[in-house]
Amino acid sequence: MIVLNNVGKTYRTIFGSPVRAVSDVTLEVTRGEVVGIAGPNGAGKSTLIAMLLGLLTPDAGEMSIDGLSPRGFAERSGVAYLPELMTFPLEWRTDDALLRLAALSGVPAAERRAAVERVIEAVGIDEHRKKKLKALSKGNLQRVGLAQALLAERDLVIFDEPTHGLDPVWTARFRDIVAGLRRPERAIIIASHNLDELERLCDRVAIIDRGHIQRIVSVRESAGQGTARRWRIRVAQVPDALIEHLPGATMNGPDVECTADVAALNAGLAAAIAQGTLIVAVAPAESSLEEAFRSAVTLR
Amino acid sequence: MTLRPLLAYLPWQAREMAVRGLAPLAILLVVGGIPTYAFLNGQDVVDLANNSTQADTVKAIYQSVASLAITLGAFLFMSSSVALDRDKQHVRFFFSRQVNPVNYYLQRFVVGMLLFLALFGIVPGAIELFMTDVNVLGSIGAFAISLVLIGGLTVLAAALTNRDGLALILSFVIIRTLQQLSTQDLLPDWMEPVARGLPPIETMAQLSKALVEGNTFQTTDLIHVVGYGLGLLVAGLIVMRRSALVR
Repeated sequence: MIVLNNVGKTYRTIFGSPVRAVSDVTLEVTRGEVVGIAGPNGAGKSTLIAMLLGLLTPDAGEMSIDGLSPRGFAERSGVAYLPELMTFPLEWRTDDALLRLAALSGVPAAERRAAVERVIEAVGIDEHRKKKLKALSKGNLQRVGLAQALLAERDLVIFDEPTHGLDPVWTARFRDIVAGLRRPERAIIIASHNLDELERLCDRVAIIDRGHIQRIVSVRESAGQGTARRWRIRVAQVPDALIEHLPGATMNGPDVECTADVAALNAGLAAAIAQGTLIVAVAPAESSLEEAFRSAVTLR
Repeated sequence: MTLRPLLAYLPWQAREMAVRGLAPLAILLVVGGIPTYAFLNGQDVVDLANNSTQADTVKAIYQSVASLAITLGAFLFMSSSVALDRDKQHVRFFFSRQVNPVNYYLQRFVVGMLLFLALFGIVPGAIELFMTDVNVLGSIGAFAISLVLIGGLTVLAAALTNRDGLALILSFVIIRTLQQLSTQDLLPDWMEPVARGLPPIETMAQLSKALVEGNTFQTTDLIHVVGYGLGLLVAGLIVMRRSALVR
């Protein structure tokens, strides 16, 4: 559905010197996929998203969505888009903002009120419907932003830092909403700093740094692979047996940490359990995405 | 692409533009109202229709204020719309939808212009109805030509820069100064064609004054001002279509 081929974008400072925001980005996103874009601040995520919406034009490479330019696609089909910052005119009232954006989304007049009610309920902002947007907290404003993105059915969904400002309850709720948005005909792109969130929601994550895609991680495939990784094991009693059966394992506070592939881990756990070790929890010390991110991104 | 979403959005655009039109209207009412009130205070206003001195004075106040208010009103009404949407990032909400930005701003321009004419038509209409004869249609015509030229200049400025208000004021002052110097033969010869080729702001001001006062004017001046304004509008929309919506 989305094809980016060596896409680049260079800005010019006021003195004319070039600043390369995005360079040689090649990526394909097919319908049915949820693709994450991860990267540190200034990595080029926002520029990439602005280009996907057709708000910016690349100055190098080719970019198409369903065979059209991004601007042409947005004007033909619309994009469900949640920007990082809720930059609505703040004098708008919540329900009126949603109603007008529903109109602009092409929702027929007869269905507009129902569409607004549906999204108000979905994001839980009923008590704020009559308030002006400037009276809303950051989290509630973010929920209004999410609501406006859900007003119409779209084949392309783009969320830019979608849980920015949301509390833990709504962060979890957001994940349910995104899970419910998955469709075979729909592509979803999520740009986020939150690697845990991307790992839970996405099929693949493109790690971008300094304008380049450094690595594309297939999240679903990487989970449970045979490569060795670092594990953290919480033990209720007899940790010594575990240390004995897992080569290189060390105590780290109340936990045992080791590096092993899944087979070696299970063998070590089984042997330790047979000797009376009680295991409370086993988890990766860091996620596969986090590991990939650390190795792909240059610390500044 | 369909125009349906944009047409459905028209009531909200109209409401916003009507609110925008209130500020210039208030300026016209305050700037014209204070001297009129000061003049009429203590006089029997009921007699205005039969008192030619009073009527002429009210008319003179209206005519002197109208030209200034029309220009100022057109400035306030037309500036800081496209650039503001871009600066405040509203474009991200509007144009991620099935909306062509050129159509969006063209619709807003047309709706705004019609509303502005209706709102500003109230003042000469009320003076005509309750006080004395003024040229209502001429006044509305003056509003219209000012809106077309200043509006066209604003759209082009907004398409080219991030500060359309500042660009508009600077270009307006520079162009008008050059053209006033030109009418007084104070410009060097080589600058004459430059002054003549720039947007006809001085002609617009003269034409606007003639329309408000009900005097005769050259049709070629009218065509020049309106044609130039529409040309600037089209150029602005083309630039907007070809350039980035966020910067």
